[in-house]
Amino acid sequence: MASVLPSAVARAVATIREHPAVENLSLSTGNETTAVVASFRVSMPSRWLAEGHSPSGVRPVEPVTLRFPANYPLCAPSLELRNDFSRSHPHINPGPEDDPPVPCVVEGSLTELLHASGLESVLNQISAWLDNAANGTLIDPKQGWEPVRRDTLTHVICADAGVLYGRTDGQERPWFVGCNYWYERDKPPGILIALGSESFPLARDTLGRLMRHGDSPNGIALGQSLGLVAGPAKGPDGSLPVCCDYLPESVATLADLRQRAAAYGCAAALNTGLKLLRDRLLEASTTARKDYPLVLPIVLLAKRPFPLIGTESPIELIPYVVSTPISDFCANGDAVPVEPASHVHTLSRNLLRRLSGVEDMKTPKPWTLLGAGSLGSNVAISLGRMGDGPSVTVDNDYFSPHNAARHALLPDNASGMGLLGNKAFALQQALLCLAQNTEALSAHVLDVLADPKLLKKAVPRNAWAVVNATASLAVRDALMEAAPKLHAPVIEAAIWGRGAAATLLVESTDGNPNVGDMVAALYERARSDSALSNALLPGGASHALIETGQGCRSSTMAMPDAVVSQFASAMSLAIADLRRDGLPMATGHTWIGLRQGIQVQWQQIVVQPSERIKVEASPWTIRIGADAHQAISEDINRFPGVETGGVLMGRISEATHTFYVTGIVPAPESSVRRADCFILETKGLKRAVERYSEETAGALYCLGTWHSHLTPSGPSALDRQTAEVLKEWRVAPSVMLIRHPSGYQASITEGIWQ
Amino acid sequence: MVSVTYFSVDNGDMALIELDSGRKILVDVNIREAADDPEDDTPDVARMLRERLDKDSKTGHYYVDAFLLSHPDQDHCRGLERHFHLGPPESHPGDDKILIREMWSSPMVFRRASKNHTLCADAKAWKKEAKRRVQHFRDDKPMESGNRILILGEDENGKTDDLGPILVMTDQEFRSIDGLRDSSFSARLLAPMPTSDDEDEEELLSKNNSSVVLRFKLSAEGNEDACRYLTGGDAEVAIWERLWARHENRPHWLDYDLLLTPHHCSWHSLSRDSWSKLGEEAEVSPDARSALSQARGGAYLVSSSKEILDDTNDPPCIRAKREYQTIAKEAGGRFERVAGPQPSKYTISRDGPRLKSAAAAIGASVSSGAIGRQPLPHG
Repeated sequence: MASVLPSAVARAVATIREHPAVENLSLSTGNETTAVVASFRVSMPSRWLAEGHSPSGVRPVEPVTLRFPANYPLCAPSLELRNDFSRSHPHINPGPEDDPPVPCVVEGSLTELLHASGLESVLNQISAWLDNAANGTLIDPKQGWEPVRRDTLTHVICADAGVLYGRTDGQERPWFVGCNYWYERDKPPGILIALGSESFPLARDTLGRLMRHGDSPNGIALGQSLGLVAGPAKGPDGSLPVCCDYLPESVATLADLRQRAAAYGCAAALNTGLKLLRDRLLEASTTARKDYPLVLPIVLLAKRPFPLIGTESPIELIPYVVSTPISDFCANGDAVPVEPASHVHTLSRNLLRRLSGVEDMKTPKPWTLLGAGSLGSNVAISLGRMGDGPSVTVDNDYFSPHNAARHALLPDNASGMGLLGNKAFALQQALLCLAQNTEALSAHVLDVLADPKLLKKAVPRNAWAVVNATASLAVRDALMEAAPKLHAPVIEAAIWGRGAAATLLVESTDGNPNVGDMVAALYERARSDSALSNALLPGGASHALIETGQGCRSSTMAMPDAVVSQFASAMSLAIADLRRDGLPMATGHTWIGLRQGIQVQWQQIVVQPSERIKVEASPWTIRIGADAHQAISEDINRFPGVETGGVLMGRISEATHTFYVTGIVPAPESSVRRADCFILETKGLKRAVERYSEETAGALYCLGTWHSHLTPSGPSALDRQTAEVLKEWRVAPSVMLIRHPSGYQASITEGIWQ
Repeated sequence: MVSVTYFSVDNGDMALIELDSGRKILVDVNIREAADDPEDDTPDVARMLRERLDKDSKTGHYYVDAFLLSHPDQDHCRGLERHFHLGPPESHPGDDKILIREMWSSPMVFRRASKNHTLCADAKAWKKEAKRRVQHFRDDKPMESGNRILILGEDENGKTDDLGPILVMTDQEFRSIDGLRDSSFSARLLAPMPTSDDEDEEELLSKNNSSVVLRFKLSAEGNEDACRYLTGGDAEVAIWERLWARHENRPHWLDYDLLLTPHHCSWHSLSRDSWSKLGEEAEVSPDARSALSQARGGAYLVSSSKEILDDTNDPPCIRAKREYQTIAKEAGGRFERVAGPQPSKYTISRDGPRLKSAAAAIGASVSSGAIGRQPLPHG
């Protein structure tokens, strides 16, 4: 026999014969298929062995037919149990009563299992399935209750499960809700029904107001109807009846449905609802309406002993559809045909979170997106697909044709212009499609930050964070300026050098370090990292701008959407992690993504807080980065007992009156270090400062000088004289920083022309 | 979960009984040194045992509530010294050695060495520890976990006469473990049996025939009689014949839902004839067979042995396997071997014991479109 078998099937037969749970097998070949009937030994307790079957009807040895298709091993064999194998087991695929029962032995595709783990794995699954069927353990409480299989049914009811769970108050009343339906008239029956969430009493005029049906010329039938939801009634002890029996789907008529409802404890609600509906239909139906089609979704709610797979609720939704002319529904009593339907969840934040595999947040704190451009829209949509889109989006820009190259949203084809209106509103619409309400503010971010009313609207008091994706230096400064009024830390997302790199800066919740500190630290880091330097710092071809229109103000870098999306995906994941784990406290987190070909290498850096020195009687603040602070301390330690000093490097934000000190240039060796003074030698210093600055393409520059005092004290007379000299040197303000044993003190000199 | 777990130790015994109360009784060990070598295929049963044991909440030491050594043969006590703490519990060095809270020992420990009674190092260690614990009792010291012992059966010459509370008499049913009554089990001591003058003492005093034969009743899921388990070490045909003679009128003392076929499926437990010499001519002892065939409906008969081949070897013996298969079939039950490398675990529900179906090794053949396991991409 084996010689005529395809070699793959012949090997399969040998494998089946060798399986430790298979006692014997027989073969039959037919048209292009080979059927192997393998007798599996089923594990069961001794008493059941003696009885010859388990209480669930499984025998000690069960024949399973493996039907190998002509394209095996590309496709897995199909499985069949003996014809009289009880269908009252979970994990049996729904199918006609006349066909042999088909066990569902693996979550997913049997063919994929075959390719992933081989035929042995398929056989192991069959054996384990039979063991579980015999011992009543096909449903694993740890995994959850397996709902009645209805995945191959053609009718689909879309409903918010959370709302339906709430229909289990134990009262014996039916719930009526509105619904919309859709089906193709000439196709096999398959009705799509969207069930509404609001319930209402079935008054005399309800049907007239509610029911609509239309047949469009393209073969589509659309309509509105009502749905009936029947939950279980409380028992004498006040609790809901728990249905532990797995009942395979076999309902075909209203009579069957009533019986099934009785098993689930919902008979009272169903029967009341059906009677009321019939009465109302009879009242409302004129002769002309009697052939009017009735599409009636009915959902039974059954309480199971433990939560269903993938949910936290023990309530199982078991939906059906009645589709018949009103006259038949009213006249045919319990013979009216009923067809089972499957349930799909209404699109919701929770559904998106579940499908994304992220933990549900009971009350997610709002977050604000500034800038709904390429990067901002991608991050917003990506997080929106995780059920956690922004609560507010601020952007005053409109969607221009060139945005179509990279924006997460698609232009409105109807306009023929490639436009989509304001970006914030467009994003609001897109997020609405993801069942999320987003406030859209069509205003310039700078205006918003400057206007307390708008700011309150843009960044609610309980905001989790503000994500700045504007790629605007002005916005960055304005955010730092507005920090005391924001009550929320800033996360800055940016792409650099035509997609050569991207950064995500997350400032500390206590504002130290802030984004300004972190940007300065990033530049400092670029001094010793050529790849980062090439991507970040201006001067190279990678920073060329694209002309998007004559006189256009847009500073758009050329890069494909794939690059933006690639960076945005990682940023979204990082933000999602922060949403789950919390924002950093007393440190900042910088993610740097460097692209090499199709790869992006991400690294995360923890930025330590800065030393903050407020200059007395001056608007200026000096923020000394942790590395610079350490370099100063080390220099002082090198020269004990005398004053020492050097040049401060970093950057200045005029808008926020802040010096960001990122490093020092040591004083030349010939400088004078004495107990009473420090004299900075300038010979050779200029070149050292210039080199430092050149290494960052001018992003970091000289800020002034620092020197130490051996006792806590402010500027000496000599210091004041030097400051006057410095003032003459440049227009930009300079800092004179003094480090003494108790801390820092500083003075600012400004060469303002007066 | 109530269970009896057989570790895969070839021709040897090693079983762990887990009671409904959570207490654990270890019956024999055969922990071969080769198991320590990761390159060797010998299953690492010591690790597998520890995985199933609890640690004392105070001391952090692994422990078994009771350890029954059926008889002091190497294939029943190998590895005792290496893996178990022997000596006063307070002298435990703090390593991963397993503390025996209560020893269940045959009275062989009181016997002097003879040609029938040569002991391996592990057996000597058991004997020494048993004697220490008996002395502890005789010294009237407080009996607590780690010092407790039960002597299963009276010794000849009155050496056990003074043991009262720590002696279990033949035919007696006991229900305590580590000094506490445990309602989730009972065990009846069927052997060793007192000898009489007209019997062939030489035969009955051999090590194999000194085996402790116990018939447990294990409760599970509210059924006090969920599983009757008969275990008898290496007891040979003479013992089983005598047992039948003693209990013919009360066969329910011998009946079982789970039987560990004696002496690794040896023909010598069923027949006085030599299988290797007589082959199929060898005859089954009707009384021994009767003693070993009191299978309740659907009973499992287990062979803790090497693979049973159709050859002249004994044990395991193909003829014995056939006999046990017949007994199993008559009862609508099953004959199983501890095939390893993973232990065979018989879980016990209110409806009796059951063995989970064996699974095939994944990727063992090239019969499918795929060889072995493949990573699973997601689209």
